Amino acid sequence: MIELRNLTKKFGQNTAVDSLSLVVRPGAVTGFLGPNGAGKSTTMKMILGLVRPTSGQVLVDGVPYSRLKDPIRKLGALVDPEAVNPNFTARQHLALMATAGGIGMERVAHLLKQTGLETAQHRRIGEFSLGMRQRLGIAAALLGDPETVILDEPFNGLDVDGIKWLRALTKGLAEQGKAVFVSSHLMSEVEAIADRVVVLAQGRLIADMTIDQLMKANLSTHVRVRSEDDRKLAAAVTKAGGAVRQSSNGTILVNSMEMEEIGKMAKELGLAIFELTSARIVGGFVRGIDRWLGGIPGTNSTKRQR
Amino acid sequence: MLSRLITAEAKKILYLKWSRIYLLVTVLASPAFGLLLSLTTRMTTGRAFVDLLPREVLSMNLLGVDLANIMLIVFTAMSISREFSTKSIQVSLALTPTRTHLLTARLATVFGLSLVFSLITVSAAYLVSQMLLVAHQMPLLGLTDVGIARMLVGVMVMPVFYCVLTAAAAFAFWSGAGAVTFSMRPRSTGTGWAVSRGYPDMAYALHTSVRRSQLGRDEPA
Repeated sequence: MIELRNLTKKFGQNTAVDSLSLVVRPGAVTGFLGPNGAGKSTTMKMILGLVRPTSGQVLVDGVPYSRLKDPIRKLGALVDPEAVNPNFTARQHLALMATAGGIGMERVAHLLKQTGLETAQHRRIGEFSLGMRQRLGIAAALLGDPETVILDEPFNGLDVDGIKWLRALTKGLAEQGKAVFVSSHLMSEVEAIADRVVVLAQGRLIADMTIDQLMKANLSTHVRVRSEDDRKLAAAVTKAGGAVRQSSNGTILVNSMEMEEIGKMAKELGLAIFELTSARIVGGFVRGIDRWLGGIPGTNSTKRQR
Repeated sequence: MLSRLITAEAKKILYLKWSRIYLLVTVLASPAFGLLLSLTTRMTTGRAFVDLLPREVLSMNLLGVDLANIMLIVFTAMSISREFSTKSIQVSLALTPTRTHLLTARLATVFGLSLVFSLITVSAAYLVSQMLLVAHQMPLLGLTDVGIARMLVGVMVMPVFYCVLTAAAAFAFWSGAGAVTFSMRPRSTGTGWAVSRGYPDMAYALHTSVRRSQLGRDEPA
């Protein structure tokens, strides 16, 4: 279990993380959402003791990370897949970590197989794609079979199969009773795996709730509708309490209302529906955060989209 | 815990092919350089080999150890600074959150490695000197001679001292160039101090570019 107490990190005048308090519990996947520059990676580095907090405290199983007796078995982390010596092979990289952590080489072999790097284990990491580096980073995070796993943007660079594999892996880890903390700037990815989400923007905690609560809070979802008479439907939806916007491609986007409700409303109005989809995408997520904060100057949320 | 970290640090060095080649070249270059200097005395000092004192033959061969010392300093600085440039230090720090443990393991590894290299290169320099003296039917150097033993030990200690200093500096500065500059500085200042205080062997060990004739004057063989 990880506990953050009033964690703050300032870089000069810039506050990267602002009085962040949260608990990452075992047996669940906790999604850590936020646009780029929100402070997610800085928070994760503070958990690992790689960045010293300006104030506040991070506790892993009740003690600071630096005081853990056997850290590799308590907490495994993927913070930066590029933070490896490119001259080592995948096997050598894991073997070095295993040696330092007192872990047998059979665990290394097992993880190389589990992460799909078995055939590439003797290749230099410098020749690896980002996806392969992510897999290696995940293998390194799982090396000590830790009680808590931290993964920073693990979906970046993974192909479709890789994403499916990682979803199954994170869910499986949570089912084993481990605390899994996964950061992402893509709502769709976190939504597929997380039991709970923590939303961060400009270093501030703006939401800490279950996925269902988040959807109901309308932070990230909207329903895209195209009907026989959008104007008539929009008026009815607005009257019923929904927030309606016109999208650029001619459809209407509805917030604060479930898809089923809109469908029933269209039926009552006698309107044919041509499109009715729930869109939980990064755009909606960022707009949700923008609304909460009244706009984030300088946010570049689409920069790292695949 | 510490032994595991030291083993990992040693593997980190030996896993890399270029490291193994560099270290092998260092070991071979040391006696080769000493031998080269010994065989070119007429060119470099204007004196024939047979005109040299046995102690001067040894000091000339020990210049090869100095070359190995410089190569080891560069190697140490590069090995440690590479971790910072590739950011792989994050992995090490996450694995070993207690910084003192990590630093201790690293310094111990450098200490062990440089000690082994020091022993090999100094022994090689001594053996090459003896072989040259035998070949030229000159009197051999005895290890029971306090001056000789002191010179050998002094030269043996120096690579260890400088490499550990370089490792600490690289860790502190996060820079290989900074570490090399930092660790080279005491060589020049230390040499001046040792000469001024009349410790020729120490001066030799600190900086073998001190004139051998000066060593000879201070402590005749």
